[in-house]
Amino acid sequence: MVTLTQPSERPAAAEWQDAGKRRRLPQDERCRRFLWSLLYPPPVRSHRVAPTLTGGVLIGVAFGIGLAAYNTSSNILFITLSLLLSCLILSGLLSWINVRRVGWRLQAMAPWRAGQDQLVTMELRNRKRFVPTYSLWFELGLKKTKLQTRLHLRGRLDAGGTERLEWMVRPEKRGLERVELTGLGSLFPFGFLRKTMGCDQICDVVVWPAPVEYRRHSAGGVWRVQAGERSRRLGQGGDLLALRKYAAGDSQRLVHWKATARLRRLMVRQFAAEAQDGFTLWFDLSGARWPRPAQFELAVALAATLAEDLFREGRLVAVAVGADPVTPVRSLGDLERFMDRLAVVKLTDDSTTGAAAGMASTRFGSNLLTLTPDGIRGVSALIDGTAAATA
Amino acid sequence: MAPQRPQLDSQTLHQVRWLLGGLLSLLAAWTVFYMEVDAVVLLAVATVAVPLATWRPGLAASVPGWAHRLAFPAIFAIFAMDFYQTREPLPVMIRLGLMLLIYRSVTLRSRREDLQLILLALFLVVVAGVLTVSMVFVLQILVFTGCALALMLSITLTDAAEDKEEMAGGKPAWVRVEWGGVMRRLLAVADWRVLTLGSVLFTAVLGLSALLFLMIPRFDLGTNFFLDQMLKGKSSRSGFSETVSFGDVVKIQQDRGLALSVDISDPSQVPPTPYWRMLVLDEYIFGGFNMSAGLRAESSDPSEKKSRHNGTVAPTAAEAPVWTIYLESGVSKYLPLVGPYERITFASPQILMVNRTQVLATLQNDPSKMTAYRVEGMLPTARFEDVELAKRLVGWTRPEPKTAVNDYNPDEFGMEREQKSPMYLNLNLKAEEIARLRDWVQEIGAPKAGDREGFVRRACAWLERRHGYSLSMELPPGEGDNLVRWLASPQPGHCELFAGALVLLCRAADVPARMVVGFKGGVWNAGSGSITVTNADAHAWCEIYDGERYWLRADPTPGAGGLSSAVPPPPASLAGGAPRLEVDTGWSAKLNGLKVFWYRQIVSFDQKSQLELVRSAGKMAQSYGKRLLAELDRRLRSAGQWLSSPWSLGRVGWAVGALFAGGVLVWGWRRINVVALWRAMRGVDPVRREAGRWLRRMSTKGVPEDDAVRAELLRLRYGSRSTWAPSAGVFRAARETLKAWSRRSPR
Repeated sequence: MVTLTQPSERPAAAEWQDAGKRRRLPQDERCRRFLWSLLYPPPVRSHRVAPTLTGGVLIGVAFGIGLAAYNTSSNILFITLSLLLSCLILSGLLSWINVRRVGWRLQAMAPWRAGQDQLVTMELRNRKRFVPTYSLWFELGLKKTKLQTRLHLRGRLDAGGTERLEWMVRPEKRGLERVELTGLGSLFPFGFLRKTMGCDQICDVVVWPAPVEYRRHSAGGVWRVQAGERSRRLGQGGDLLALRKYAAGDSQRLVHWKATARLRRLMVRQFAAEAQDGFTLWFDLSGARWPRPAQFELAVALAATLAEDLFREGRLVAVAVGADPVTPVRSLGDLERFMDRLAVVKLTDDSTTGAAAGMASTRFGSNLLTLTPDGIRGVSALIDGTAAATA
Repeated sequence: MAPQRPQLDSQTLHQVRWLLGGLLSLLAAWTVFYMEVDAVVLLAVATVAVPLATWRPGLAASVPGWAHRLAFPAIFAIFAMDFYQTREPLPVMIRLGLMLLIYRSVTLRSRREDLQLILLALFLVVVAGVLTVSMVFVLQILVFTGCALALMLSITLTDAAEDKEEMAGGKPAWVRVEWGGVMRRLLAVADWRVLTLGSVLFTAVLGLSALLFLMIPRFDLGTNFFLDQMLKGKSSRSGFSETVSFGDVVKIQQDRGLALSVDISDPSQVPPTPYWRMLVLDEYIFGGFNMSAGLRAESSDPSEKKSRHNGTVAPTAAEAPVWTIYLESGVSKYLPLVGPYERITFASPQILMVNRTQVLATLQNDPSKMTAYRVEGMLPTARFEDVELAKRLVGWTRPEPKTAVNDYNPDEFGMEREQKSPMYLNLNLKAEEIARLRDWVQEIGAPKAGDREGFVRRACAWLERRHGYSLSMELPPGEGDNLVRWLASPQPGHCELFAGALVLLCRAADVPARMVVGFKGGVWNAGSGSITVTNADAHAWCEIYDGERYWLRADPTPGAGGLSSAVPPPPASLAGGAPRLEVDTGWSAKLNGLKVFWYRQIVSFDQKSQLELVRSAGKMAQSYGKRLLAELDRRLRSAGQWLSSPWSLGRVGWAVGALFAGGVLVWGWRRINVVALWRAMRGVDPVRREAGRWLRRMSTKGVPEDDAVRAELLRLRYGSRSTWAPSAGVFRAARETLKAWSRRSPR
């Protein structure tokens, strides 16, 4: 099996948020939020300070010493009581200084792949001038997977410095996933007080179907390559097909210097593919075809895997999902859009499987790659009705 | 770019945490030293074991598991046994706290055990402070606070820094510590700005504590439960007692520490040499002076605690002097007084035995902490009225002397013992010793026709001729009474010998006499405005009965003046409010002044003081407000007068000129941008400054950082001049970019 190991990363990042003054929203936005908050009270996102067990002990000790101080009129005990209360106040002050002017931003490198480790990062920055920040934690969660974690800032975040906290997650299912930063907290400096603060940062990411193992059938020569012929598709052939603007990652050898000089911007050449044996992948969503949900999920995963593999080989011409129009695949972006679509596909109630199949041959022409159940668990890929692969 | 400071790893944090815990334990353990609790062995163990375990945490990690399992049952068993034997809850609790502290210090600690250690240390420090009311407590609690906060901080950082404790050979890896390396890492991590901020915050904590201390409302609940009362009576460490052997007062004199500090409302009442009477010793037996049972019986025996105890002086309409005396712990339970008084008041109710005739006041127990009391209407005097004694002396006959001291039977010694009265004429000596005394009396010149004062003066002069003054006492060898042997010798002596000798000579001459011990003199502390009396001022002198009404003070110590004048000198008007005492301005005076401040303002701070503070703050605010309003009013009137007076050409010119100058100033400020001008004068390039301004605007508008114009601006701001594009074009492009960005960005 060949997998797309380096999908083009589309970072899903929230805006920088910090513990300082809140951004003043426009008047209409404030009114709208206020009205909605009457119906759905929002979670508390302000700073909250609550005593920890240690803080509770300190308060208890202070209470006891205060009681003894009043009973004995001993100023020694009043001094001790004053010091304990001052320490509590200092703790609150330092806790406030610690999170002051600290910004954070949630980032998830989309897209994700089901069944593979993915990275969620928290970028931190300390915009204070002198004072470092210590001992913060961030409450992160995956809403769909119902997974929670706590990321700790283990070291010191120097004044003016940045830090990056990472969380490796493995989504189990395809679909839309939401990474939420629900709050941050700190026990700094003395562990007396737990400072928490609500955050409302979210990153929506698409989880592509998981890659699956499948077996290609060589019988019938359905996968054969007819070399020498040219097509109007992009590929690695020798014929110049078009020029386009330079994009990051393009090889320097592709730069078309004359066009660059004429247009005063970097232009690169695009070549035509050498073969014409490309396939059109059509994924049928009708509920009649996929009576078993597990089989449907396997089919989605196989479709994604085949699409990747064929694109790598330069043999994926077009894709279509259900009744969607056929989309030519000329670039990685086209493939990604197809994968995004596969990530969220659902079975439809359409029961015209046979008719759809018949129509498909007229819609897509030859080299049509379709998927069909194979037994009660398996899924087969058919090329023009001939079994070509099984998963 | 400044090099990045290294981070402290989890192991170093653990090591710092361990070190701080050890320091905290030592500090708390050593506070027990200040308490009068028998815990010498535990203190020795703590002093050895805690530093050792702190230095080598590997030893603490090597404590076997069974020892941990046995530790608490063993400590509890010792505690139960201790309580069963002593029945003193507080000392037993202190020893228990010390044992637990030692155990926690020599075994590896988790977060919970660190917190236990802090609580144990707090318990010991606070109990020591309450029991001693010493100024050292301030230092202890400050160091404790610093160490405890640092320990808590290191716990928080350690907990945040580690996932799982790293183990090596069954022990945590951090126990293999090299303290030099730890210190180097700490130094590398230290940042002066953070340290400064920490110092400022710690100072702020102290300031806030002081403010809270003053502001916490005080109520008198009247329960008056004191920890020190849970300590059974201990003898004073260096103080006076009812039995004074020769040399005891000299031992007290060796201690240079503070004995008492005295505030007085009217310093003119302080005589040049005040005698602080504490004890009257009338019975001479076995070579020493005691307070007899008869004298002791004269004291009242109250069972009720009271804050106010009346004396013999009737309240006067005139404003009587008020003396506030701070008696250090360990001095004595006998309160120093310079004369008859109207009333003694304590901050908390006390049982006080008062002998009104002899002007003596005695607490029930030796106080283990500083005792403050206020004496109203006390007038220093050298004579004390005793009318009853004159009546008892009528018809008194001298008893037959005994042949040996061993034959002494208290009930047979004259009328004093038979009547259970004080023994002012008793000579508990052998017949030959009494005979020698009478020989010396004859040599001095026995009192004739009641000229007792003349005899005392002659006796003082006689003693001064025969003996020099020395603190070291060297009695001549031989048998018999020490004092008689000393009298017979030419050896020098100290105050006790002189006073004792005079008492014996007076009694041999049938003159009632007694020894008095206390303090003599003192210095005026100009810094604190109080009298300071140290233990080195301990003294012994005599009081001689004049046969009619008064006991007269006689101080036979060479240079002391002998018999005091019966009539006290009138109060003098004093320059600068300082009494006629030697003024002390040295370092010890400053330290004592600090102690007085501690006693006056901190220890004695109560509801009344708080109300006074509020009143004085209110008065001060009112006073400042009035002054401010008056100043404002004056200026307004002045301006009004200036405006209402006739306008001459010159005045108009002045007004116009002032308005013009103001206008020019405002225009110049806005137009020229003085700050920019100042920067330009300091050499800031205007192009760079303008580029900085555009960059700020772009940041405010949220222009992305990869914008080309922004890159050009950055080059203008920070880059080399050789790389600059024409600045005018760049600024124009920046303006266009900002406009475009404003149009694109929704509001």
